[in-house]
Amino acid sequence: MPPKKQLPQSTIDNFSQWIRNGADWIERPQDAADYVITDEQRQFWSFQPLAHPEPPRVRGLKDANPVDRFVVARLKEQGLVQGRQADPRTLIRRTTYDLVGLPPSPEEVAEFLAQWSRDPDAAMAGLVDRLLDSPHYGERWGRHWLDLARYADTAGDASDFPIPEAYKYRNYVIDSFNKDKPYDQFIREQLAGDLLPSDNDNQRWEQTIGTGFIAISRRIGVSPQNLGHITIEDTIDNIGKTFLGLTVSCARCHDHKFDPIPTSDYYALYGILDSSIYPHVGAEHQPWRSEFVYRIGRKESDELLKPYREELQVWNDRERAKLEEYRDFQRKKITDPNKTREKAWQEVLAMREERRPHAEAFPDLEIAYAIQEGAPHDVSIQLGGSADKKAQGATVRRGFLQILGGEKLPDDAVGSGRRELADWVANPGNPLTARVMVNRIWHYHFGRGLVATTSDFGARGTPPTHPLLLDYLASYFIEQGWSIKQMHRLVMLSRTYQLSSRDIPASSELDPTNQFLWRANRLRLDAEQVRDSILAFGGQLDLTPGGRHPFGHRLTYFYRQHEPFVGDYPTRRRSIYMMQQRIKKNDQLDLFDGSDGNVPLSERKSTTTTLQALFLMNSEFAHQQAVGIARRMADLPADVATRVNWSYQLIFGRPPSQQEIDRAAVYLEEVRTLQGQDADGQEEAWAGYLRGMISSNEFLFVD
Amino acid sequence: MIRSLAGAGLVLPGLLSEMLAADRKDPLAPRQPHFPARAKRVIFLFMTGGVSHIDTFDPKPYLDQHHDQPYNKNNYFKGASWKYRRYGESGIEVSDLFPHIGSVIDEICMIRSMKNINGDHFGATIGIHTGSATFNRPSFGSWVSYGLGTENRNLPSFMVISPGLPYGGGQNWGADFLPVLHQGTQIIPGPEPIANMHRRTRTSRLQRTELDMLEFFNRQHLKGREVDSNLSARIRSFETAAGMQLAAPEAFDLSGETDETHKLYGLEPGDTSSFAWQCLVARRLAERDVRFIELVDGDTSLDKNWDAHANLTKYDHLARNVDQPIAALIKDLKARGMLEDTLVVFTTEFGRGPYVQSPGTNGRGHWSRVYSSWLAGAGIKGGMVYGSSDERGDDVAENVVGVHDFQATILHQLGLDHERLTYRHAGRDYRLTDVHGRVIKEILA
Repeated sequence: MPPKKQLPQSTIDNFSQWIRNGADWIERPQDAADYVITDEQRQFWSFQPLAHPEPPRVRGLKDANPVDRFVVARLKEQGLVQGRQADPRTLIRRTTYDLVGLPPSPEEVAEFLAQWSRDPDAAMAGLVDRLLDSPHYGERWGRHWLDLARYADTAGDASDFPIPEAYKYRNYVIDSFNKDKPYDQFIREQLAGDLLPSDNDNQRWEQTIGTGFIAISRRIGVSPQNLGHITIEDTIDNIGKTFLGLTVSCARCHDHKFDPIPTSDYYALYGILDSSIYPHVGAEHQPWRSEFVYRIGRKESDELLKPYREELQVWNDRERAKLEEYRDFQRKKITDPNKTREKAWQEVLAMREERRPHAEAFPDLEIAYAIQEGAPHDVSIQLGGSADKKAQGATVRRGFLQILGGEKLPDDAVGSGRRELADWVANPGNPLTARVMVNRIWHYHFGRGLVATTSDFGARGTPPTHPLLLDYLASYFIEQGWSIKQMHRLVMLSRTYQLSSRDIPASSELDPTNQFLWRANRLRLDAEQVRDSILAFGGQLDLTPGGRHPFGHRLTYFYRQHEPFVGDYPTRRRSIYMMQQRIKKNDQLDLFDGSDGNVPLSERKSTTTTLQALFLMNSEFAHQQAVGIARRMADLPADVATRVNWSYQLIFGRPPSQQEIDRAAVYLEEVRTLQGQDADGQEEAWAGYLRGMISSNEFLFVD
Repeated sequence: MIRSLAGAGLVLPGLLSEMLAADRKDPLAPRQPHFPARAKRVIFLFMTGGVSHIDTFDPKPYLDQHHDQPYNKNNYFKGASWKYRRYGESGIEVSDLFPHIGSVIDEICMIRSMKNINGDHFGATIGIHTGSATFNRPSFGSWVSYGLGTENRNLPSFMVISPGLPYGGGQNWGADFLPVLHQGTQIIPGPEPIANMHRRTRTSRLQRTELDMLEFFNRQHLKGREVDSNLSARIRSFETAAGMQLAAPEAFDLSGETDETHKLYGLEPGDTSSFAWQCLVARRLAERDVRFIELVDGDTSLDKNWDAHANLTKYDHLARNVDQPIAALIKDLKARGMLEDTLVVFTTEFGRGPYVQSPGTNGRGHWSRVYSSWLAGAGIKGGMVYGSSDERGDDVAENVVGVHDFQATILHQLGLDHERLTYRHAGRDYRLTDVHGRVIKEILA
């Protein structure tokens, strides 16, 4: 639109200067034809095909684990020496927390020590196998994946509707890790599980649930149903970062500033997702759920549900009509003295109650929060990322990133293109997919990836510290059928994984952050490990898998920005099964840097805060659980040495020294003096002692 | 802070050098601003729901004259529901909703040309708090904490006194990609304003005994691990927590405040439910050098916030709840010489519209195109009006102040250049003001 007044002279001068400079329109959206990837960009390390490097020859390591040969060779180049192997107690604690997120029991420690004394290598291999077979493995490693998938049980917009079916995706992820689903298959299911072949209906349904990865995309604003382009942005952002280690969504408004990703690539992916149907979970102005996926099929469910839907529609209309009467007070002066705004609101609420039994009588078919095929179409570039109809650029054929091959959907393609997208991402020839995943596995084992920026393998990320090892691992991963469990075995049975965390002054002088892996990194327990462990010590942890959260009936939600959904469902199950809400975090998990649920989280932070200390000192949780652990002592002989020994074995995984027993005796004596002698005092004294243990660095850090 | 603790004998001997070493990489340690600062701290008063500019701080005689007359086919003008009068030497007009704020108008720079980036509560609320209406970003207060640290380790650097949750919930004070210790700590009026701030162990001597036991566990563990500063930092966090356990209840204990002060704020002794409580506590936190203090008025429920589509009448009691305490806060800070270096900010997510769909409607819709906010203290020119809306209060007439300009100006008073206050995340440097923001130099004294 032309401005009403003449522009200020300074603005006119700027335009004149710009025209004299050649009127370069730097921010123009570029479509595929005129975007040129430079040779320099093509030569960037992460876009190179996987090398298949042989492990280097290292003297004394002829038959060693390949990981060690790569790492030690690199250490030698740097003039560094690798430390010694950690002791077995450290190793079982490290390995158990790492694979299942729980502390080893004193019995497991004892058994491992016995095996270790016979054959350390066999003991370690047996330990890793036992833990990989545990159902709790998926609860630990699935959690990593849920962080990336920004999993949550609510939608994320202003009214934050619950998604009662979301848990199926959560459990699907846990199960997939437990059964060591090949990672390429896991990818395909999450992008296009509904379109994959299947042997039976269970498999078909499981794969369908996998597309929850897309469905769970964050909703935003008051009317997310009108912000489809922002929901798709969230999906593309997540696909880019999580699978490919690329910040693809930067190209929504302009060509990527650093990586060779033009806007046309972004809209090539956008068309695929825009040709798919996302379920609507309900939001303030559109509270009715729609487009969920029924197990019996779309046509079948439509037929079966038709009468019920029609009946419910009547009630929905009545409810909306009442709401409109209420909203009239915003629009006009109501003169009828019998009508008040408050009364109108009460009538809305009464109508909802009247509607409720009809909603609750709706048939309970099996539903998934998943993705379906829509009408296939290509889309235009949205200039500046704007969904405004006036800001449409060139139309882009659906396809993949140019730097990764740039395949386009063939002319005769029939679907959205998700099926093809899944294959492009999971293709062994894709230089990023395997590299990114093995690097994630490495990151979770060591606390830092070979590429430290685990979701950014682009120009702004950090280059790998061990490029050959990274490629070796990626090739091995593919050769082993994309088996994540095989990667654990390879990595965890290396000496590098089993190193002591002790400092070596000469090495820390040269490599203070241990990027060349001369020692193990000491890691703080994460939020779930802290909570789950403390519950486990008190015998309070419920180890059964969690299911649906106790949300109200799915068809009775009328949350709005003024009354958003807020839920709290206490549970003694593992933290992964706690309800995770988007607009409100769980205070306890958040305090210890827990997951986010709004954005893909690739690296947990590990902060130390005063509020964490206050939590351990003063929270009801810490006090109750410490009392719970103290009560478990009741059956033990009352002598200090026995009880201290029991506590140390349970919480620190080792026996106490005589000095430590003596110190406990001193403490107990001091408390007795302060409180006077009685039985409750005993329990209180021990609870205080145990609270010290669960607040201590020996518990909170893993060597 | 560590030295002073050591001086007071609160730090266990032998830990001092480790703790000082940890202090060097302490992300909350006070930092030098980019240039000399006028403000040492901010008190950010946020009114949830969208305060009508037309009925409060931006008189529109045109609307009053055309009240109930058609504007176009679908809309009618709606004049202010409260009268305006002039206050102070500056003679700035304020409506009868805010007589007390009127009484301190000469301390205030009134901005009548605010513009938010989004017209919904959710987007506009997170917009003014984080600079983005769509994506998760760190909060204003988190950026300030990150940029300047804090001089009082016995209290969090960023505290949000908010009885409920505004639109967007805790995202408004989340640290997002900044380290979580810059996250706002929500203060909920009541017996335990900061979670877990009260000792649960029966006596302080008993707790000391327990903490000595913990200290023993940690000392044992530290043997051979001395070089790991994460371990000493955590040991230290318990000492800081012990300090907070003492400092926090004292900060919230108003029993030492005189009757006069209570009267000034309009606070009944023992009442913690009013905005007056929030304001008086804010002054006490400011005295204790908390860096960024936010006060949220209201939550998402309609009877407690300024969203008024059909019930403007509620503004009478909403304004009564905040007017006197806010004025009292300014007077009190001034009397204590603290208004010099405390920046008081009054804002909301947007204004409310000049039109209604039918004459006589007792409400207004959302209006982010133009609205009013104000600043006071810490080098801001008092008794001035900056910017204006057009005669209908429909859009900015001159000197637009977008949320990023507003943020840039507040950061500037804190000695922070909004273009240099950056954090590297996901491959690029992020700013509170994204790629926008202009410091409004015209309002600086």
